[in-house]
Amino acid sequence: MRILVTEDEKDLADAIAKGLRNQGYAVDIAYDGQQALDMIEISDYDLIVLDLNLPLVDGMEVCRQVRESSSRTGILMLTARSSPSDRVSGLDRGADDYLTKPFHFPELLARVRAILRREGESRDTILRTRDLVLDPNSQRCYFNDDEIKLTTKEFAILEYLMRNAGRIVSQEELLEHVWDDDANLFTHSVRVHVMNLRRKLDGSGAVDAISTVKGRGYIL
Amino acid sequence: MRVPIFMKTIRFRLTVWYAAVLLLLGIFIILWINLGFRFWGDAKPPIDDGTQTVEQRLASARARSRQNILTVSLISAAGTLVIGAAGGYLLSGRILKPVDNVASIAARISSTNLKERINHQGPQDEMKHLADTFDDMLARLDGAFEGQKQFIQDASHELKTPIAIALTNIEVMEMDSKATEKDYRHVMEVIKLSLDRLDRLSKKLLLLSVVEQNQPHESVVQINDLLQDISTEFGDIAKAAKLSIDLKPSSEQLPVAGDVFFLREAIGNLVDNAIKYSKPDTAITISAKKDSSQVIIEVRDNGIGIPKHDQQRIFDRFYRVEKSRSRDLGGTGLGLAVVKKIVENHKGTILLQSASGKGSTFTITLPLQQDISS
Repeated sequence: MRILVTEDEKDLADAIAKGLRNQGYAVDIAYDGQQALDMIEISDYDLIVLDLNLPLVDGMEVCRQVRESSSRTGILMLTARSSPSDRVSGLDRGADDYLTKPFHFPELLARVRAILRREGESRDTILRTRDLVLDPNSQRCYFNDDEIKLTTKEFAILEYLMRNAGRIVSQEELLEHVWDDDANLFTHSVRVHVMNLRRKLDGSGAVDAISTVKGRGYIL
Repeated sequence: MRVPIFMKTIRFRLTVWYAAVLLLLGIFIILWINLGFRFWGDAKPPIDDGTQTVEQRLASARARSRQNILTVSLISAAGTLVIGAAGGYLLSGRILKPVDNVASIAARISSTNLKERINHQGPQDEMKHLADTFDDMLARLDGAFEGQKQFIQDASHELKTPIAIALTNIEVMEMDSKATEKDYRHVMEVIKLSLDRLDRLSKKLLLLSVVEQNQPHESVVQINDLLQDISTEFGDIAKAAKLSIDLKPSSEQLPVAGDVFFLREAIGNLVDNAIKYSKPDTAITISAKKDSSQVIIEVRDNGIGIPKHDQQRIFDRFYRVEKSRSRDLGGTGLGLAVVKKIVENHKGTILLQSASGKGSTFTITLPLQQDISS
């Protein structure tokens, strides 16, 4: 899942990004509203963590423009202003959720998961495809109740495929949603990670869980 | 139809009403007494039954006439009392009705609904004047309340941000089982910076609240000496930033009635800003001169300047031209608000002349202390 953190306080933005990356999300940072709009135009983010008090372009305006072009991207607003009218106007402009500063990081993670869940087909907190079970909260993966140890990257790939189960996902799409801007990678790395993931799944009995559609991508 | 102003006043209307009521009462009394005398004033003498003489009968008729006149007069007095009381009651009710309206609306307006106005409709009289004055006062109160609310919101925003930075950094590290010593050191550094920021902000907030209480100033401050002190104080900081401070004191003594601590804070703040926003190898000029009964103090830099559209709001609390740059330089957004308030407390004015890239000049004008002997 690819996330854009938009926050002008550098130390805060960096910490949020680090915490989200530790959870396996691919995270980019924008330090002002204009940069955020530029980055949103280039990449397809699953979620934007958006501060309201931004230089150059106000957070509300960023929110409005995001909603104009894409209804899929989740928006979690983040601000130190906590009056009910601020929250109402934020949600009315198209934010999915609202968190006031200072916040507890586990709560931010829970809200991020809740918004990402809304996008998918299932509202269940645990992803299930056949006997494969994935818990994004605890970052654990099971097949027939046996835990499979995955790296954060492998977990992220599997999560994206499970959220899009039954649909062909191209290598480029995986690259876009699982890796961030800093990772200067090519589809070759996607292949390597998918290969490792398959080997682990095969080893646990989930043989051929991920199939390759020649020239198009992967399908779960 | 144009009516002279005095005819619109309540005083005029009251006068006219009183006169009208008095006239009516007068007419009533005259009519009543006249009619009363006509019908009862001439009592007929008793019938001649042979027992009384003519004189006796006439005397008896006169006595009864006097009695009748007394009764008529007493009734007339009672009538006057009743009509006068009723008229006065109606009249005062009529005149005082707007007062009741205004009072009940005023009672309804509290600190929570200062947006409401009496909005009195009616002639341009004393009542309208009173209601309008009250409305003006409400508008000023509302403005002050709004300003205060905005300030508290802004201040709480400024206070929450460093707390959020520290808290998030700590919690993210807590959740990271692979955190290294380097990570810990980084988080410590971030927390320290956040605490510094909170410390600076709380000090400035306290200072602002002190200067807003408009303390009386007691002593005589010699501006030349003060500028000398400030230039010495900032000499090292300026040197470190590769800047020179060019001090141009006046040849005459420039005494100002005021508080040396606050004046040092105000001028020092301007010099501090000048250093922060200057390019290396330029000069900062601090000068003072006398202009008739005023002292003019100038702090000029050749720094980045302030864009035209920001100049109006630069003295507002928490207004910053460039938030991130101000923050990196340790700014709180309150410095110039404090400076302005201090200058105003000293019955002075502060002006800014600046253009982007062309440097800034802040000019403080203070009244000269006339009686030097004090």
